[in-house]
Amino acid sequence: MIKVVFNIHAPRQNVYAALTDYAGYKTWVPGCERCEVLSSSGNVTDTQVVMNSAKRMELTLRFEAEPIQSLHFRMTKSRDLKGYSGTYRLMNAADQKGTVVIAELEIDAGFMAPKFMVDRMATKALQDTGEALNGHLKRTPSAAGAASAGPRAEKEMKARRNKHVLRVVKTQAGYRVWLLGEILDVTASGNKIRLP
Amino acid sequence: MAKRSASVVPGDPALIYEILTGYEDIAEWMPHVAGVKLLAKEGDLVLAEVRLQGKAQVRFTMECIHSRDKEVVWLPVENHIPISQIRWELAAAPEGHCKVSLTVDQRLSMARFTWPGSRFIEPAKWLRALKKQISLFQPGLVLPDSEGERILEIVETEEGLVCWIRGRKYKLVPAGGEQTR
Repeated sequence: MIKVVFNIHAPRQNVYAALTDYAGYKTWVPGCERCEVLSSSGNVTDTQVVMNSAKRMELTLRFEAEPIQSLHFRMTKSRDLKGYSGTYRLMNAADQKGTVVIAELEIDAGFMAPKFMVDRMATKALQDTGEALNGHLKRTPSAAGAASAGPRAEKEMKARRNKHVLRVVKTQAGYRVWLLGEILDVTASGNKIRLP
Repeated sequence: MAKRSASVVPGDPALIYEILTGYEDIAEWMPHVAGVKLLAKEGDLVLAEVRLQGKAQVRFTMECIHSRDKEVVWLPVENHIPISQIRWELAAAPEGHCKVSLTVDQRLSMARFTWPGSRFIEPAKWLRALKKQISLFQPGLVLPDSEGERILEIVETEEGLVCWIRGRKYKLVPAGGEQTR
């Protein structure tokens, strides 16, 4: 399973809208020659996709969407691949300036293609998809805008615990200094420090 | 293949959980970590970017899954990282203590020998560092063999940095700001 994280400089609603506009994939997904919606029921959509990057491949993909949260896809039919599945999970960026996408992809190209090579290509494909999505959303700003940006990133308001930084105690032997978890003894003459 | 270490530390699981999930402060105590940037946070899932110390400027992304006061799991996202997961398990122990078990699962890959961060995988050292950090938050800080006059004390509180000099309280403000006493 390949995982890639990318930052998209657009509200979460817009990212979700772009990812679920399956027919529009051919305009921005690198290597996508065609994406045709075969059927759609609720949040489940079956598509016929033709990818043409390293090799021309035709596959039927089923997308299952959880609105503004995630998009799962898996191959239901292909002559070229044994398995193709993955997920896009969306989160609001902590700095409130966009969306963080966790993309996962698993490709089984059969025994003829070494896994390390397939994984390397899949990583590159996911990274390129992230860049392309950023570019696509920059070119086509959606009306959805920030007003419906999905759940706001959480700001926890919790009580802060007191944190000790320094304590100096004058003892009979001199000074005992506690500094960020370490104890140092300073003798009365003031020129000798030892760590117990 | 896993590296494990465990220790019983003073403090309740809630405190240790807070320290482990306080991502913006992790560089303060975790050995070899230069900085952590919070990318996203929703419920018990956090995404953070970790930067390690050293010339190589190693950076990687971690998916962090929490189970309040019980478990904190860190999963490196990138495949070239030879760690598959770092699991901190917390269990309450008698007398206000907590048993912390740390497991670092490593991937069987060449990256174990080539990834510059591999030499930093030292669970026992991480636990010692955590123990030290816990001591900063002990409500009644007790110094062994320290009978005597308390001369100076500095504590970070909700009202800011507070200082006691021979029992008299002062509020510290950053230089250049408004001074109060």
